[in-house]
Amino acid sequence: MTIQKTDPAWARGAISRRRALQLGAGSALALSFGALSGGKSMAASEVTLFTWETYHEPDWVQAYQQASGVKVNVVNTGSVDEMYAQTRSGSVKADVLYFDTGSFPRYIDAGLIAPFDAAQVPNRKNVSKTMGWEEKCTVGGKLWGIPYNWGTQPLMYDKRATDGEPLTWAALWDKKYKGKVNMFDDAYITIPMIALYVGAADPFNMSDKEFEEVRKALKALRPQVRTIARGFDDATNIYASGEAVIGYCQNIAIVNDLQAKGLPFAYSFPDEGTPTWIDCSVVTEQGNRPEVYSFIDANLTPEWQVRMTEFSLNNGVLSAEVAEGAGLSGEVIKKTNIADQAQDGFWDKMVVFQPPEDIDRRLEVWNDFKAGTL
Amino acid sequence: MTEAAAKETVRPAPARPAAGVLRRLPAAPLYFWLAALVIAPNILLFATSFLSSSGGVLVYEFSLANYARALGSDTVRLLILRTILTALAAASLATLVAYPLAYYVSRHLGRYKLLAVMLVVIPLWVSLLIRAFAWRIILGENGVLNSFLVNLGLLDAPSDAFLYTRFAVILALTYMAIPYVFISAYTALERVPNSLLEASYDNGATPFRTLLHVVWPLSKQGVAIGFCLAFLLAVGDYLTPTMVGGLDGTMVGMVVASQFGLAGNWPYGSAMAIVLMMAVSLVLLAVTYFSRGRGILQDVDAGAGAPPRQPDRSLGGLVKSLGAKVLLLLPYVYLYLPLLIIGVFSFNDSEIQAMPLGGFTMRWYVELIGDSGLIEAFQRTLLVAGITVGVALVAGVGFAMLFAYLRIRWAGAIQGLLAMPVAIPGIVLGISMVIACQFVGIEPGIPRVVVGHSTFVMPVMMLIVLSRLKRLDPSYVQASMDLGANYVQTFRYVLFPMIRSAVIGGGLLGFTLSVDEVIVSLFLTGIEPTLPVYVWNQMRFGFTPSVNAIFTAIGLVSLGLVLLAIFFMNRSAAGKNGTPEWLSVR
Repeated sequence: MTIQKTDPAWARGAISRRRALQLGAGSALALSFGALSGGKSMAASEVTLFTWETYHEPDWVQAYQQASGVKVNVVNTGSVDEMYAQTRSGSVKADVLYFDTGSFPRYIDAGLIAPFDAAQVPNRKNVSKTMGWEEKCTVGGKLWGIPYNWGTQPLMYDKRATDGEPLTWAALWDKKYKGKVNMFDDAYITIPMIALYVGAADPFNMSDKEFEEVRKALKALRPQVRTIARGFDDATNIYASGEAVIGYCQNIAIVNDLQAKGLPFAYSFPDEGTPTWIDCSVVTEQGNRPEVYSFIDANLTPEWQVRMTEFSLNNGVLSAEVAEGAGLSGEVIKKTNIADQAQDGFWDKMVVFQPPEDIDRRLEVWNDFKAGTL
Repeated sequence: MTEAAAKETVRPAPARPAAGVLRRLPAAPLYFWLAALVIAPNILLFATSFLSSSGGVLVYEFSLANYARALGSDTVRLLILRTILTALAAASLATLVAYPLAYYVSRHLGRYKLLAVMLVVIPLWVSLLIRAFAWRIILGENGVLNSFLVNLGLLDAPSDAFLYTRFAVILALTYMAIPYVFISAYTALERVPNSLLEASYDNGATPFRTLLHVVWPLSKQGVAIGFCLAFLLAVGDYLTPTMVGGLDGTMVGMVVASQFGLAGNWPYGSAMAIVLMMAVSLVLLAVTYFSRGRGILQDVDAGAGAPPRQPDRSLGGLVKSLGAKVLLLLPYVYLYLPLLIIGVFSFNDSEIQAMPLGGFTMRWYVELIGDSGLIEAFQRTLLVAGITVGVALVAGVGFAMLFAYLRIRWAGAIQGLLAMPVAIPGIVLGISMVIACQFVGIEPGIPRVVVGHSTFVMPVMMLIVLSRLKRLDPSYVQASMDLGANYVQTFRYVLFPMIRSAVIGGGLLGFTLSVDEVIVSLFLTGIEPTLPVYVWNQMRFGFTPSVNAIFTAIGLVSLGLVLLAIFFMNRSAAGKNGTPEWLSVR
């Protein structure tokens, strides 16, 4: 049972934990077995969320409950897989799920979610126009959710080690950085970047030939990489101790942390494209109710979004103007991609996660990479 | 030891034609445990390996495809070989360090014996993951070792040859294995009677010959148990190798685990687990074969254990003794260096776990007090270990009595089966328990972890108590019953006092195994992590140096308690021979 605790310390500890937990796709293997507890029976005046740490902090939820009279139950998940497994097994019966656009098809195929009625969410107007979210949340001609938060996975580097800003993923294969390249241990997230580097037409739906190219690229990358990070804190320590100077960035929080320590790290968006995730509010069949939509709508007010961004340093979904207008400080904006997205062509360079054609096959290539048997 | 005086005069009676009075003790729980916690999980694991998976959902069609795929995969074959060789290397090196240490402690230390033993055990109470992490700080390019070598002028520039190498993996796994080999080697060595050594010396044998022809043959079975335990822990642990070994530290467990996570392909993962288990069984069989001894020591032979040797007062003897003491210190430096690093970083004013150090701070200790997640995980760990040891105690002592006093068919085979979870690599055990718990609907969280831990803690307890019971003279129990005591009274006033030290020893070992267990727990905790699992999650996301603070505190409190206990024991008669009672399991 993961009804969040109301202890502020719990919330404080969660700040950084959340940033990458959300992207833990497969690496959080243990959690994916699903905590089969937490099954909740739904009452009409209740809304049950299946969400992530830092997405719905206890005091925000409490304030909403008081204002609306609707009880909100919060169940946190540890990984994308865990959320799917628990929803599918019925052990967590939530009204709203929060997952990335790449996961839509498997939920739709399993009949776990309902088409999204955007008309019940007037605050959709606050979602940054540049994101083009309607298209990204549409599958099979139907809308399935609305963005709640998003983040990028760029190329990060130590300015002392590079000549200027590297603008291609090929930098990771540069012999100059032999043994100093860092990746993170997640086939779901890493293979699309490699696919972009080898020029695959669709990094989420590769042909056999493209798979072979990816395999070759990984083989060439192996001597460049001595260790792979298990999470963003692990990555931060690896970069901070000088064991890596360039790499695929799981979350820009790593760069923020390193900068805060006075280390000259930065990130760039390579020309081939940058893998990006957009987490959406998605309603289940049982959640297809007005009070659920009201909650989702309340989550998209500038005030709610600003509070979440300040707390987690995630991007939220507001444009820079709206965010600033609602009181988000320039300092916080600088630590996120909120300002970046206003630049021309920003979203064109972002490659939003889609469901992979064959996760088993991707994992096998990745395991071969780790074992050194490519 | 209350039983010592009595048992030495009586040759142990064979257990089988035992005292009939306890014959009616019901054996049903024994068979239930065997079926529910050993046979069923393994059958389920085995059965799953023949299914297939589609989109993360099991497809119930029999197929050998998973085995063909696993055995045909270069990656799986290479990683199984690498995992086994690495674990063998670590267990062997640990034996090379632990055996001489145990020998020295057993033969040469008097009143400091208990301290020397406990100092080897204490590191086990500090999370292995944190200790592995400390090795990263020691071996890294900007790490302690490099700074030291550069400052000494032995290196011109920091070397990257230490961290993220096979060397680092073996170093860390050896480090992990030493206490386990030490404990069993020490227990075995304590049983070698001094009279045999004296006889060997009297016949003109050199100390080395005596060691080779008397001490080693009599202790090698005990060493083999520690070796196997260390080997199994190393095979099952796929987190430590990747932490210090980087890509080259990838072990087969990682690939097995990924099938249960990202790929959602349980059947393929199960098949890999079974293949791994088969390979591990072959190694265990080989070790057992080579370590078998001819005949066993009986208590009447063993006498009262080894008194410390008389020191040699000549100059040469003093130099040798000093040299031995310096050598003796080295393993302790090895064991405590990572703990020192953890302690230092618990006062380091930076959230990042890397050199150079920031300023001094107490804030991690202050934050620790308010860190409910960490404290709860700690409490949960104690709760799990406490319940597990409780369950293991009741079941282990009960089953041991059944084996000792009842005529149980195929007793040897059943004991072997009950002990199987100890011999299964953590990753395989974790997976089989998940499948079984899922099957019968035991919820993730504390109940699952307790069940999982009990499977390997109970047999440890049972075997230790059983070995003690087998050496007891059954006529005491008979006499007690004849004099009109009931079962409870007989157990309480006669039997229990005679097995108490075995129960304490088993309980301590079980507690130690449970509190730092991470792999099995990782599969069973769900969203209520134990401390080691919490630490593992933190190392990936949201690390706070309060973790260093809690383990520094745990280490210091353990050390304090041990010192205090030794102080009081040395003041009382119980501590006079300096032998930790719970370790003198015979």
